[in-house]
Amino acid sequence: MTQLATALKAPVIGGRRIVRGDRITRTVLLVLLMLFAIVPLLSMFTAALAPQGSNPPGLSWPAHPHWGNFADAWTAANLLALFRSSVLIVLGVVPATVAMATAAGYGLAQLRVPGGKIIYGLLLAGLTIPYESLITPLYYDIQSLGLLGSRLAVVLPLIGLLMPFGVFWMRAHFVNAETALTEAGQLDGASTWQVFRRIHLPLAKPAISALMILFFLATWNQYLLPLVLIGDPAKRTVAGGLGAFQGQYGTNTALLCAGALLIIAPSLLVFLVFQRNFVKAILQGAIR
Amino acid sequence: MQIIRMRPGSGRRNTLSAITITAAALALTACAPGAATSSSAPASSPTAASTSVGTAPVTLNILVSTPDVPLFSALGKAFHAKYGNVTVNVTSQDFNTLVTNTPHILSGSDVPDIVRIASFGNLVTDQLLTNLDPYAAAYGWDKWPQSQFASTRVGADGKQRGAGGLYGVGPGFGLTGIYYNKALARRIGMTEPPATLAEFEQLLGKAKSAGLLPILINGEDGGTVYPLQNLQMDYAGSPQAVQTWNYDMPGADIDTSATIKAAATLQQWSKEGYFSPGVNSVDQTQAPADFASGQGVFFPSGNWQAPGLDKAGNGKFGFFLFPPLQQGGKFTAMTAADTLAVPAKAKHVAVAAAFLNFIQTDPTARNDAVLLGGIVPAGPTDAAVPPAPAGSAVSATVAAFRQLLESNGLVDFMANATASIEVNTLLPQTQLLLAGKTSPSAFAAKIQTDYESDLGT
Amino acid sequence: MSYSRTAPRSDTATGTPPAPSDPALRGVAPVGPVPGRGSSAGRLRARRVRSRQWGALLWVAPAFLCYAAFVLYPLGQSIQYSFYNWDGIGIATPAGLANWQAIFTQPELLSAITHAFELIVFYTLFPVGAGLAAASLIRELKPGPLSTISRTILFIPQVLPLVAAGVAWTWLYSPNGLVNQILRATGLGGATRAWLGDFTFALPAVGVIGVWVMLGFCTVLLLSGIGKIDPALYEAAGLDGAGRLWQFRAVTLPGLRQELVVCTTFTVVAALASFDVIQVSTQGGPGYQTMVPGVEIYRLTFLDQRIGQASALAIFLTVLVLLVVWPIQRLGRTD
Repeated sequence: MTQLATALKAPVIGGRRIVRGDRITRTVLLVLLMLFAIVPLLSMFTAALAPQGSNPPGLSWPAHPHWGNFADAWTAANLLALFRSSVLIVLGVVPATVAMATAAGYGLAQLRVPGGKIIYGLLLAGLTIPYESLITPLYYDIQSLGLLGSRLAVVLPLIGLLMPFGVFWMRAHFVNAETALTEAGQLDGASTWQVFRRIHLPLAKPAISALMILFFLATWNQYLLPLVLIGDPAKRTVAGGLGAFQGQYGTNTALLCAGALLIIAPSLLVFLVFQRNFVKAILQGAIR
Repeated sequence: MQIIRMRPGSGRRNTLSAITITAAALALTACAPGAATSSSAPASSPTAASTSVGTAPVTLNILVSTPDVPLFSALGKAFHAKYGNVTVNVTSQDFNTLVTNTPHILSGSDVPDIVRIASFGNLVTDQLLTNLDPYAAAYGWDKWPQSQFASTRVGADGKQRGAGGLYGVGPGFGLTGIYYNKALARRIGMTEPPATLAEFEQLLGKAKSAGLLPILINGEDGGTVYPLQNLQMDYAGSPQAVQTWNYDMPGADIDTSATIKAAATLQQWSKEGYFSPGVNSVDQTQAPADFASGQGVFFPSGNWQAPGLDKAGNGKFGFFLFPPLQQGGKFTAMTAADTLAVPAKAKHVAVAAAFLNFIQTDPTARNDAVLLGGIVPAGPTDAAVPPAPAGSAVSATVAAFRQLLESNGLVDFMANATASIEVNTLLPQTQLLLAGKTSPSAFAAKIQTDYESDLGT
Repeated sequence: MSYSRTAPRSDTATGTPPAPSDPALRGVAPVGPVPGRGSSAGRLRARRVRSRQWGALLWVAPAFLCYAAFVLYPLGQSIQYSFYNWDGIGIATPAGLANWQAIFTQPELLSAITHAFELIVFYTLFPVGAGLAAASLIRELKPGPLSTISRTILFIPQVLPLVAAGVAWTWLYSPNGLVNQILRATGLGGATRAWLGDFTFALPAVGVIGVWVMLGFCTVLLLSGIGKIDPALYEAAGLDGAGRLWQFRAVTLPGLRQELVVCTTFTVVAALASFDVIQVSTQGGPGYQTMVPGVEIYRLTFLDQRIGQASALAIFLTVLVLLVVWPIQRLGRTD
């Protein structure tokens, strides 16, 4: 076979013909990028196993892995309280925001809302507002509501702050919903609510579950709001706890790395378990 | 994960609507901010001071920074042992968070009875602290050497310190000086602490030629400002100028030839390689760890590091005050009270004052301050000096403090001159200075400019 | 091969919709054109439409009210504060435009804004470029474990709190950390330094953290976009004799327009509004090298207690973000 024929027989993916040698380089490049992504975490893992108080070098498996460091970090960072607090905040934020965003997204996409364009525009503008712009007035507003220091102090603003994205996401989904189904349901005498609940809500499940995961992550990883609005470190989120932990145990590298890994673990776990649906939903939902 | 933010399409009309809405909001709230939330704190005019703790069960809430918890827990236990009806509850936040949140904690609803104050800022102007003068009279603090209270007196304008109402006291004083690694010091031929600045610089040169790290210091969070201030006071011949500046007295000016000379010397030391190349990324938790593991001959720092260093190796580390310019000159050092204040909204003011009296006078409490906190209590002249193991860093710092008290060499830190001068000005400017990126005269001028704008606003 | 799910649309030409495929809806009769029954049916329908419209507002109200209460209202307050001098507790005094002037006259504030823009290079340019490369690399793999694993692993940095990224990389950059270790191992020992304390390299070092965090997101997003490009376009370009680079420019890039817009917007906003990473790693040092508006606002509010100045800077940042994002969005409009 001539070389040309061989080349022509090579698989066509994405319009580019791949030849064997190319493929190896590409895989190597991809592996390098993956290493870049994962090695920092691996490095922290090996450091977490080093003896406390030592200065472990970057990436080296210690002679005697100190698994006990994780237990020590757990108590030192008061992780039980922090996890509990974060879960409470997530429970406060995510269901409410998802519910309201779904309703609003459906309304804006499927129903004719008076002033809908203006409302949607205002919401979209909120997507680019940096949290730092709002933190000062939020502090005083929450204080005048008497909620400062309670977890509601973070839950309520976060609902507002996450709402633009939620509405955008759900509207993007509902815009593509089958209007024919709506009309069919209405001719059958169903009210708007019934149409929504029986027809469109079940179809929206993938988008809703992806949104819940995104909101979970955004809330769990929230740092600035709890830092400012909640004085008691035990009532903040885990991200806030990590900041304080670092300030206090800065030299104890092993303990710090163990604590950081423990704090990262739930987000990682949630992501790994749901990653298939999650990534797929992003791919489907993000671009319209 | 940060949420995905996107804003497809329809730009103009919606920004216009956004602007309309916000303008409407602005118009609605046309009155000045804070008018509705004006502080209802009681006026800080002194009320009758009681020295009685009473008999009813009381919980005293103390808010400190996290590293101080062991000390204050011990002090609380000792206080409870004396007054059984008082339970002391110690809560803490990490230091930076405490500093940022203090004004709001004190003006909020759940106010502790005693709070650790790093700097007074606007706390007195906003009437958030209790004036302790009545209690000073009731407990007899006004008969003690008064220089120990200078740094916690705030004037009527809320800014000037050094004179005025007493708003804070502390279990003891932080004190700065220079630790030295005894073994490494012997190697460079140092038999006793240097008596003059010139001797010290000679030792630095010897350390450098011996291949050792002459000065180990935390450049990331302000350790380098200590030798700067020490040098400044040496060249000025007296701490008066700095003290006036620290206390925000009118006409205070730090842009002097002494400051410029100090900056030049510090920069010279950096050029000679007396600091480590990575000095700007060493912070105050890493520096003592590095020093304890044998890096560096000299470690300018404070007595609060002493317990930790003694734990790492008792007898291995010594301490001396920064040497004066001339032989036999006055020793000076920066000291600061580990200030505790009583919020104006505290529930148990009298009990809090009793606690403050206790920690300054009770022998057990004074011992705890030295051994757990590494700070030296002042108090009355006849109070016992807590003992510490001979040859330990702690005992060296205690001895140094007595020396200072006698020579009246207590000076406050430049970093405490205004609430933000350290983080915004002194720290970055000193880093620039050490890196050779600013000149000594520009350095001094910039510090004075920022100081004036901090006070003016 | 396409990742997008297209909903079946009713064929308006024939006037009949396709039968619903969802089994739950099988019982619903297909809709045909409504036979004209005169004006009464029309009026009935019109009235139902109108009442439906105002009822529709109820669907949107809760979401919008929450948003207005906790975002729009504080934004307005921020604008108000920026015209006063206020320490947050005492009395506020009017300051006119002084706080706004200071943004342009104080060198520290100006340099903070410059640094934020410099960070865009790291948060946006590198991740988008490397993301394009990674996406095309993954795309060329046969769908299977390697492509899923690579997608997942690359995305992991996005999932972590930014604070954790800051903590992790602060340790990696320490004198004995992994970065210096790798440099020594590859013979570049002379390049080792305390990265986050170095005047020249502190900001790029922080930028690399941004690359790490953003890379996976851009990769996954661009991957979806590449998947949507019709392979026939490539065939056509190939038949026309176009080389790989030309194909990339003529087919891939235009096809990726939407995804590139989202990627760019997201990363630019992250760069300009950055706070977590820098607060945890360098706090703005050494000197003023890594100071960014986010950290400056935090400091002005809580350390200096200069609420007016903080608010002015915050509103300025918001406007800046909008100004930068708007042209990007316009580029993405397919009109």
